[in-house]
Amino acid sequence: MSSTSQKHRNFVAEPMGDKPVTDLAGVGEVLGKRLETAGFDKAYVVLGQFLVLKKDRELFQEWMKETCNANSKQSTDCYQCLSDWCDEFL
Amino acid sequence: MGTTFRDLFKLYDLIQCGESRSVEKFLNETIVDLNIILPCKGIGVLHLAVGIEPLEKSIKCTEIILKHGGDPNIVNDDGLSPVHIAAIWGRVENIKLLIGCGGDPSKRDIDGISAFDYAAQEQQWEVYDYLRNVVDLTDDSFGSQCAFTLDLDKILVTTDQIVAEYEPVTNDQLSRMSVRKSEMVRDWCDKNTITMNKLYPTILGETYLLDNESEPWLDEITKDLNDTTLSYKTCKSKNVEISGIQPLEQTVNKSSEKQRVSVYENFSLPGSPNCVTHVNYNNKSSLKKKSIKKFSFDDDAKEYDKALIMVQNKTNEWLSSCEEKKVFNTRRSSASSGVSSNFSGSIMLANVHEDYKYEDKEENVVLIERRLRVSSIILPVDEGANDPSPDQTILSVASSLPPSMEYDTETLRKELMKLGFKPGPIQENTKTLYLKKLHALKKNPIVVKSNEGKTYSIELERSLRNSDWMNNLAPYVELENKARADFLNPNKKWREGTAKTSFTYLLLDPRMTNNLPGRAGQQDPHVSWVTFVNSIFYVGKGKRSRPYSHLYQALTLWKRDFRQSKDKKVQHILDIWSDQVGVICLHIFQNVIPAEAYTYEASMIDVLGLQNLKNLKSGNYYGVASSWPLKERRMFGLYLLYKAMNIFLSEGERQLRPDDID
Repeated sequence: MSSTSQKHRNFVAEPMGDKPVTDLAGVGEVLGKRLETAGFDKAYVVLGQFLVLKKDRELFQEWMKETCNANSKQSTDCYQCLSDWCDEFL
Repeated sequence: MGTTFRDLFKLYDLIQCGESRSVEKFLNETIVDLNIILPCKGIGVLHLAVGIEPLEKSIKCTEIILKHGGDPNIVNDDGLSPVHIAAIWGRVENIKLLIGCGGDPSKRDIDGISAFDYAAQEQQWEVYDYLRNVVDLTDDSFGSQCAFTLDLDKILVTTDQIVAEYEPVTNDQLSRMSVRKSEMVRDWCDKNTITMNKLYPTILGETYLLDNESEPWLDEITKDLNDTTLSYKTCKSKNVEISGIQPLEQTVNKSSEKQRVSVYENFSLPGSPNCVTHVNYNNKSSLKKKSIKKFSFDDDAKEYDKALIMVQNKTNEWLSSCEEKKVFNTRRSSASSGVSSNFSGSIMLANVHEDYKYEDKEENVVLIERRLRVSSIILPVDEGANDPSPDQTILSVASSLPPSMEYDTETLRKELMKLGFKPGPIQENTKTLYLKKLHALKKNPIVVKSNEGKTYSIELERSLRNSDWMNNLAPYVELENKARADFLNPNKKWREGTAKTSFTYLLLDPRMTNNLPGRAGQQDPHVSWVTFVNSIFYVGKGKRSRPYSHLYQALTLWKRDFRQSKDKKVQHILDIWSDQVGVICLHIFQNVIPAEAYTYEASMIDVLGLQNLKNLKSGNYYGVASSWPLKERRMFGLYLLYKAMNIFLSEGERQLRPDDID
């Protein structure tokens, strides 16, 4: 967690608008596909889930694991990404 | 609401007659809105109560009305509040109550005159002094001499089994040496902690106290203490039930019999020729036979003996050095430390508290300050490192089998709430998550939520999530240096002058810190940081002459049995005291000029967020900091908090409470 990825920084830098789910840090092509099949095609839908879980790290990561089989690195990145985005824009 | 006014006027008459008992009865039986200005009279009942003759009745009535929810800031058509009236009539007691309940002395009436002005105008100097000294902390010019005394009251040594109290025997030398007192206690404790730490490993490896009926043992102690020490004064011993586990790798003969270990040293004073260090180390049989010598089962015991000798030497050494210097003025006679293991196997060494009595004669205030020693809890690592193994097996017993959980949404929510977790919407796609969560919570019910519903500023939130910033403090230090340099500039004119008499303080909630300094050594600094930040409930600025004046208001109310106040800060303090603990008062950044203290206060309030504190308003910035953007101010505040935590951790917890709770 010492530094954030370029992807993270890009995402956190601006409002998410209509960005696809793959723009989230930690979500690559594979996870993106899985999320899309589960109905989470846009980043904001994932944000919705994130918010519904009340920004709870544990629950969100568990959810990531369940829905798209994300490993802990991926879900941590994604969580951090959304959480930082919220701090900035929400 | 025709009856309201009839009741109110009846109450008005009762107060006018000063019959406090009937007033109280009336208020208990009838529900009236006390905060109405009566027509024709032009004042409210509280206005009346504050001003009636004679004085005692007025105080009594004011107290009753405030307790029943009277608003001290209610104003009549002239803009006069009860606080104004009390100031005009010089009712000091009343004004203390009113302000304690949230009355605002700086409120102005319709002519723009505040209670301060009235007090001066009417030459009510007693009120004026109170307002200046206690309520208005903005003024340092008055009374910079010490207005308080701080004396060692007693020392408490607590372990799992014993609470022992030691009181200093008054001595002629005592008064002269008052400055050195705290140092001495510290010294004394340091020596003792070292020896306790040394002793510990061997004991750990050997026996555990398993017995509940330890009375013979306790008697033994008390008797011994009385026999061997001359200056011993009081010792209350309390027995706490302990359940223990047998260490796994003990020899067979030991595991079958119950043993008790007691280690204590008795100090005696210069005056008695030989310093007696007395040690008992018994098992049950030897206790009965009274053949108290030593017993050696194995090597451990021998080591133990060695350690004891060391204790002896150390204490002798120390005592003799004291003798030479003739500074040993408090007859603190003995320390006893019982050593045991509780169920989880975690080890508690003796905790040492010092109780100090804080007295401000002028304002008639007595507070007890309890200082918890930091170092006494530090655990030995060397020999004891491999010993805690037995308990780990217990911890790992918990199985991870998922039980069959058929919950509908409502019960699931209820269950989660019961365990202190606030779930979000439970829907089709979140339900399984919450089921898992519930399962996890049931397995491990103690969940410390990181920040109980508080949202801090972005900077602080970030620091709470991630501890990386602690490794790179350079940007913060730079900010601090900038601010500090500016305040050192002697050519500038600062608000309230340049006398270095101010400090900033934080009030912490001991129910949340839970002796954090004691635990900090064993846990991640980041965890300490989170706890520390969450426990802060007030940031303020004080002056040296009366370091605890910010508790006076609450104390005034406490003494009169108030448990409610409209003032958020006072209310919180009362709550803490009601829970039988003292408020932790952390003084930081001592000896700075007022403007600097204000700036520190302001930046810390900003970083914590006013809504998370009991402060009424955010502070003011002075000097270069006032030109900083908000982000930098908050970063500055964050760093100050960080420094404050370090001060807290090294200084230990100091709890302040009124002298009548224990």
